[in-house]
Amino acid sequence: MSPALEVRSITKRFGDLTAVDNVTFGLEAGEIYGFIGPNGAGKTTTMRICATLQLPDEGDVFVEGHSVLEEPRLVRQRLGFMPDSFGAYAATTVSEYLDFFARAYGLRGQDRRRAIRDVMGFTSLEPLSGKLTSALSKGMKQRLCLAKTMLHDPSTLILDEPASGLDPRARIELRELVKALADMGKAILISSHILSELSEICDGVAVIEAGRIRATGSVEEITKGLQPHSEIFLRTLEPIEIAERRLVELPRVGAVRHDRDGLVFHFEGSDEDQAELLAQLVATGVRPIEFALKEADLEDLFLRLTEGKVQ
Amino acid sequence: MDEPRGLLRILDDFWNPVLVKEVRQALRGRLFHICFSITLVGVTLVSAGMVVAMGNEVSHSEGRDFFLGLFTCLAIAVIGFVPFTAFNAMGSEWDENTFDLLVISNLRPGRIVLGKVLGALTQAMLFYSAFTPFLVLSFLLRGIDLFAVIVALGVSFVCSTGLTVLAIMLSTLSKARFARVVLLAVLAAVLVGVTSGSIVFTEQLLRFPGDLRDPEAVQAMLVFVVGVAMAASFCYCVACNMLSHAEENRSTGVRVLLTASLLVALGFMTSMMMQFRVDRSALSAMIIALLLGSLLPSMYLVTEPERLGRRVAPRVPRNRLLALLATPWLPGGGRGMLLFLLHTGGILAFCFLAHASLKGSSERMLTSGVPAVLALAVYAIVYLGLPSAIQAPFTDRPKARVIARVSIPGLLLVFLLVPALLGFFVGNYNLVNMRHVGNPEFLMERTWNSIHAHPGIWRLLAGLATLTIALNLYRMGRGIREVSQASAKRAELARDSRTPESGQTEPEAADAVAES
Repeated sequence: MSPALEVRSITKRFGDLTAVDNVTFGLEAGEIYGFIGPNGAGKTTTMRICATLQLPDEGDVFVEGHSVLEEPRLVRQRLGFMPDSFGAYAATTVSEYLDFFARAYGLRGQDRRRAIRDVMGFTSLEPLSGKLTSALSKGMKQRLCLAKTMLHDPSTLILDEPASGLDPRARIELRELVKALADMGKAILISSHILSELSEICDGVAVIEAGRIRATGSVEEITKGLQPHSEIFLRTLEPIEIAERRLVELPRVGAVRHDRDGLVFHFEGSDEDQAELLAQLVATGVRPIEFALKEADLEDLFLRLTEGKVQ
Repeated sequence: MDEPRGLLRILDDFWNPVLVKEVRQALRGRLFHICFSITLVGVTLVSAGMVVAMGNEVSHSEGRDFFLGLFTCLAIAVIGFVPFTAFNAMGSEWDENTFDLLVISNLRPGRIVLGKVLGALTQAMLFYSAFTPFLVLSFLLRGIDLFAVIVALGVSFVCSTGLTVLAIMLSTLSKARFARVVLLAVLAAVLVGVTSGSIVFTEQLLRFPGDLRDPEAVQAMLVFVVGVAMAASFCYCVACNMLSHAEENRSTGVRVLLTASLLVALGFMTSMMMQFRVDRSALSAMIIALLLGSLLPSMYLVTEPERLGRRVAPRVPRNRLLALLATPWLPGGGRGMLLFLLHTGGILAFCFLAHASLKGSSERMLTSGVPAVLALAVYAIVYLGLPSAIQAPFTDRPKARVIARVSIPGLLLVFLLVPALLGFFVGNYNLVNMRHVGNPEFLMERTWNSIHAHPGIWRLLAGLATLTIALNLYRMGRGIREVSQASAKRAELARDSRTPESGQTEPEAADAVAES
């Protein structure tokens, strides 16, 4: 069976600028894939190519095996795209807005009415159905656009910065909606600047900078690729200078640095080795208060992988 | 949102979505409310004023004046306001950042443009219906001919429709705000001109209603309606092209319409020749007008990017013969040149056949404007073919395409003005007065009645035309070859992907599923 979305070696140039350079990745049904990168990295261009709005100069994108180059209409039937900036028609109510797009997607009669009812229920827009779209808050407009994106029940969703400009509550709600969509079996490609949020929901990520993919895979896979050793945080009752002196004498301990009121050091070894290290440390007279494996988060990965290049 | 009932519920599913949206938006919008209210207040005041001024005595001229007053208000609304709202409705898709949402919703450009046009015309119909009681009152006052009223209202509706399509086409030409302001100014000038023209026309119509019964007047009206329909169709095609993706087919519609328009025009000339005694010079003048009319769209077609778009190639007919026959109507500059030569050849053939069918000696065949038609055709080939062939390798880039399109009228200007300037410096007043080979009008005028005049210029033109065609042969050949290759590739893919169970190709099968 074809993957839900397959981006195959796409390149897009605007004059002398290569906005997207040989980008390849893919995602399966039910998977949430984070697409992260600094501003101007090529995220939106890649997503617009996936949504048939732009054409790659080289390569192709396939949605359930259908090419965006050759079968854009079939792709659009299977894909929902929520752009980073979108408008809501003036003098149009929420239900009229959804009704228009439902008609545009070719939904008729009961199917149309049911689809509108379902997406309004899913995005909790029912109480606002008679309200003008221009009177909606930013969060509600995002919900409305998400509802519009889901009207034709696409198998793949592309969400470009859906959380930008939302307050914390609206972000949490949106995150829950995205999780629910993935649980329904939809493949979701999502970009966001708020990496902590992506790391919580994404099954995989692609990091892009200056149009090139820096890394792809799950957060754990990328972490392992970047640092074969673990990072451990240590806080002790003794002054950190004493703890540092004792620590560097122990085996398998690598680079040590000060972090807040404790130490972070590299360590190569298994869980048993870590337990042995802690025992040796205590034996040297150091009294640990905190000894924890430092999990690499998406923000760390992002900072390590990217250089802040802007095109 | 109220649910429609009965027949409306069934019809509800078949409305164009853009039409439904536009009508909803317009009826709730402030602009329509203000304009509708002002127009109704205006027309009520005009009616009240007329009734007060008439007193107890009603003369024939007062019914006419009353109608003209009403028609003026109506013309401002349907010919001035409605196309203006259509321009805004299309522009708002970019202003409100909603155009991408329309594109990915799978609405074809044609449906978007049609929805916008129908939305604007629905507003026009609302104006007509609001004016109906007043128009009936003016008719009851007498002094106006019912047929004249119908014609006046019909003309206003035709103008409103044509201008609405023009307005939408203009609004698709650019997304840049400054350019849109310029386009709006152009539209405003046209709207003011046509509104005033329709009022003057109606005034004349009411004054001399008997003229409408003339067969020539009926024919003139028919020509007007057909002309507006053709112009509107061109505007519709251009608007659709502008809304299509650069890699999609943005050309075949214009090409087919151009060919159809030429055939309709030639058919019209033939019918005129059969019905009336047509003068040879008048026939030549009509053919020249036709040739000139085909130049503007041809200028656009011969400067298109040479290669087939990546979303066009997979749509080329699989049947090799069909693909070859369709070649001149497929996008691409070389194929555009092929179509232009085909059209020009067809028009010249018609010119010779038509003149041959007219009574008179065969010697007169090459007089009465036929050489002028030939001269114009040769000039057209040179002025369109030479710059477009030279710039063909670069027309993949949008900027180069604009340069190529500007260079065609630019070349004409250079050929007109440079000899004139040289003449000014060397004191040659023939050149200053543009009596030289660069000016098509000069040769056409001089050779109107004899092909033997200015043999030197003819030889030069023949040489230039041969050079132009030779330069274009390569791109035309490449255009044909590309279509042939795309057709062969499609046929090969179809053979490879044919599923044994259904006999359908994978895309066909997918399409069938989507359709179901």
